Amino acid sequence: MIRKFYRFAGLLLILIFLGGIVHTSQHRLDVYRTPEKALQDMIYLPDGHVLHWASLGFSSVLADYLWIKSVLYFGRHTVDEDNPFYKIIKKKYGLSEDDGSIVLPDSESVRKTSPASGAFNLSKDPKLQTIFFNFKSRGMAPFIYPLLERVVILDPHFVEPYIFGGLYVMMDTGELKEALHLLKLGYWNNPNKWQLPYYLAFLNLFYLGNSEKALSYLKESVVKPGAPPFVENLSLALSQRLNKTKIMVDYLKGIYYSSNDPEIRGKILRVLRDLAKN
Amino acid sequence: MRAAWVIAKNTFQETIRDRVMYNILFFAIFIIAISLVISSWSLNQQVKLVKDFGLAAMSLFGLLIAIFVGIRLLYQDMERKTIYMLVSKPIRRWQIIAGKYAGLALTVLVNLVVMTISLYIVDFLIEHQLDWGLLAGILLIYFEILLVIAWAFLFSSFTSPMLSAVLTVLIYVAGHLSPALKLFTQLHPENASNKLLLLLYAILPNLENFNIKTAVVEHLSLPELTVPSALLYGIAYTGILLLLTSIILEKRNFK
Repeated sequence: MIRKFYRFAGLLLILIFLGGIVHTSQHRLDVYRTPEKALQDMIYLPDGHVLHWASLGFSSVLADYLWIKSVLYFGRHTVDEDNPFYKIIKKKYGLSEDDGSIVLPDSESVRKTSPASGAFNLSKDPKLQTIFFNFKSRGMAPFIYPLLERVVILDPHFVEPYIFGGLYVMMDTGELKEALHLLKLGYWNNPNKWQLPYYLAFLNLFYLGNSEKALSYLKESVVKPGAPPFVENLSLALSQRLNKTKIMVDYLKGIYYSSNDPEIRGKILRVLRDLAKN
Repeated sequence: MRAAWVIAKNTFQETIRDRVMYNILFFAIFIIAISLVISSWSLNQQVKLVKDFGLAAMSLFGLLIAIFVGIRLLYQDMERKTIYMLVSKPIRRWQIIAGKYAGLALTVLVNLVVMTISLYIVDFLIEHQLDWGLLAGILLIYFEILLVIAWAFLFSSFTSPMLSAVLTVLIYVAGHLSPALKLFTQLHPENASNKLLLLLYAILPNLENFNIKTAVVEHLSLPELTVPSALLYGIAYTGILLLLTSIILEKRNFK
């Protein structure tokens, strides 16, 4: 009886001892698993061409995986109330309660790429500047463009990443140079897609103030298969230098109706509402 | 030919009962179904993701069937000495190979049909229509698997299952990287080892010939005769491998 008791007590002690180790080590490991650490998740990936070879015929799936990773990465690193890491982001970058502090286009990249202003320069319009140059997440997602570039190297005909990087990400981060590069790459890879010159025209018109280049891209977009009639209307309006606000609203409406992406549509709707308020 | 057909039927019945194959098939269908969940994180790209994941699952799990079932088929017969019963009958060795190969090819076909139906069901749930263009991609996946099975047969005719599996995987990797050899010679025409590289390119299978997954998902137009040329390449290459396997088996002494 006593022997049985000692055996039971011994086993219980061992169990308590092992349980203690498990608990202590888990506790120590949890110290490193904070939401802040999750945000610091470094993305190290080989060059896109290396990935393409290494994918052994599964490049599309790898592109899909990196696409999901890009969307999640961008969602985590931007100033957006839907972002579960919103509070951490605000604390990290010292943002005030109204995080929508206006950042006017003073960045080097925008300045350098802007051509001389003409009479019809939408990028210099003060009303537009407060809306379009409001880069709330500037510098917060440094890996987004390298990630998107890998996605499109793996799957050059996957059009959504070009538009996501060229428009959606750019409107939040202001990385115009990268956005233009991505859209130009997309246009080169998919010369029959009307959307790519259409968005290139958008950047040229509203961010670079180059209405001539914008018009030339719009004219290219018009002749692509499946180009909706509003592209031609815009091209005509721009060539005749009609009302600036009307062109802008029509342009944004065009993006709104041509996109089936709820995020992009939501963003454009917000911009249109801001325009109506101003 | 009747003898080969009997062996094929028997092989089909044997492999279709294989538990390993059921596990692989179940997992493949699971992956296709789970792509429905994964694709919801893709910012409105569900259709593309489901098709990509579905085709990749077919290709990958077809390859696993080729390796796990294919290499055991011949080796088991030799190990269990059941092949002695066959060789003692008036059956040519090539008929044994042809029969076993046809049986396994039929099994893989049945598997692919099940996976294709699963993919179309998932696709229909999202797209509300059926994308028949995927069938060309699936057909080439099937022919790629058939070629890999032929390699697995060749290796298992003279070596152990473990080594056969390793060699088959290596061939699969090399087969997808072999276009790089040709590209290298084109980019560096002055290279001294180009002839050797081109010889290697000619010997190794070019499995990228069968990879039109991206094109069928994105509805891209393929260069003329891509699919028939790939099918012809697959049939001829597989024929060579099966012939070599038959010759090796012919040389083996089962007495």
